[in-house]
Amino acid sequence: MTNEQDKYQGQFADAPAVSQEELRARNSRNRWLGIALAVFVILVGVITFIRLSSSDLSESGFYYNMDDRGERVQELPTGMTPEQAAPPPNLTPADETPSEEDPS
Amino acid sequence: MSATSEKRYATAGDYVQLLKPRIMMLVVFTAIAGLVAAVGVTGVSINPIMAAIATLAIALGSGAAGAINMWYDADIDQIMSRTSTRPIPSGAVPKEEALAMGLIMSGVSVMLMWLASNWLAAALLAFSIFYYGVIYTMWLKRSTPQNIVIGGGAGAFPPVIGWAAVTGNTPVDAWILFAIIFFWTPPHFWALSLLAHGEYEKAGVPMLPVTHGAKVTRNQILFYTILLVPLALLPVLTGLGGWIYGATALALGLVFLGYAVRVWRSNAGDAEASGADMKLARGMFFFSILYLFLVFAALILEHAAGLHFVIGGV
Repeated sequence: MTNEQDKYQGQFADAPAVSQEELRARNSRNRWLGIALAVFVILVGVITFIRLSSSDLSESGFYYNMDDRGERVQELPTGMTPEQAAPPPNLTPADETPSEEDPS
Repeated sequence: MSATSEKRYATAGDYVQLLKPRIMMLVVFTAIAGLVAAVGVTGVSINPIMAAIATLAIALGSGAAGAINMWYDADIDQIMSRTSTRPIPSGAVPKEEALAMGLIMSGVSVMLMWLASNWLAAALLAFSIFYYGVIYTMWLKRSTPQNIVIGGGAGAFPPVIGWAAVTGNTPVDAWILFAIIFFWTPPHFWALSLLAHGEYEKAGVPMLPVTHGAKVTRNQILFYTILLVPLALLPVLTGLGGWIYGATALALGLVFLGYAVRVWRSNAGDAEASGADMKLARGMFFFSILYLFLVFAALILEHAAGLHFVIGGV
């Protein structure tokens, strides 16, 4: 009888007796299951790494690139002019909108 | 339930047996052929690690289909002596465990394929598992003597999946590889069933020799081999196969045809069949495995080793 079985002796009277052979088989099976799970996690990690490293996310327009001065600039989608990309006048910040009442 | 009187506990080897490793090897090999040929023909590259993971996904999918097959066929496996030592009829692995393993592995394999390549390859893999596990195993196998003709489609998918994993589509060349395996399956499997038709009869499986007799089976073996030999040369016309492939397919095809003719003229599978007749059928069965292996090996060699010299050009 193993230490594991000794520890619970008498506490679970209805529990089926587990032979050494069955215990060994169960442990071996669990070990292989653990290995299989670990391999699966590693594979998904490797796939993710390769997919991310082989794609240039900055080209998606989602991320900003840095210009020569180190400032962030957003690349426009192919075919779009800066005028088209500019926000509509009613959304332009107040300090940038020329006022009609401005005497100058 | 148990074919053996002594209760035993499953080892890792029993779970490997559930995956039908010998079939898996052929599946993986033909998938690699499709993968390598796709790279060679189209020039599209694939990350080698991604290609290895895609191949692993195909292997897992094949194993999953095998486990589902063993789960469903446990009752007839118990009757046939050839299959009575399999993990379920021998009592090592509970049926439900085999089913759970098959279903989980199916999901994992399709997901891995999707992540490593594309949705088309993943969808084809899912369909091929369904084809083998449900269409062939649960429906065709016990209902029609044409079971392995139609069911052969399941085993023919791997090169198409391999091709799709690289390019994201399935051109005619990929389907030619499919057709080669599809038309190879009947002579391969019926050669075996000529040897084991008594077992199939005992288990109530309507294999062709059981329902129509050995003579009709021998005719059908010859018919499908006659179709297969020129079909295997089709890649030479499309440019998929070059000189090496063409010469290999022709030489092996003629030997295969020679076997089919000799089996056709023999009494293999009949009650009065001699030992030599049965030896001939067994020889054809083993040669058919070698045939498929070498034909696809020639294709891999040409494309992987830069030896793809197309007839009529370079």
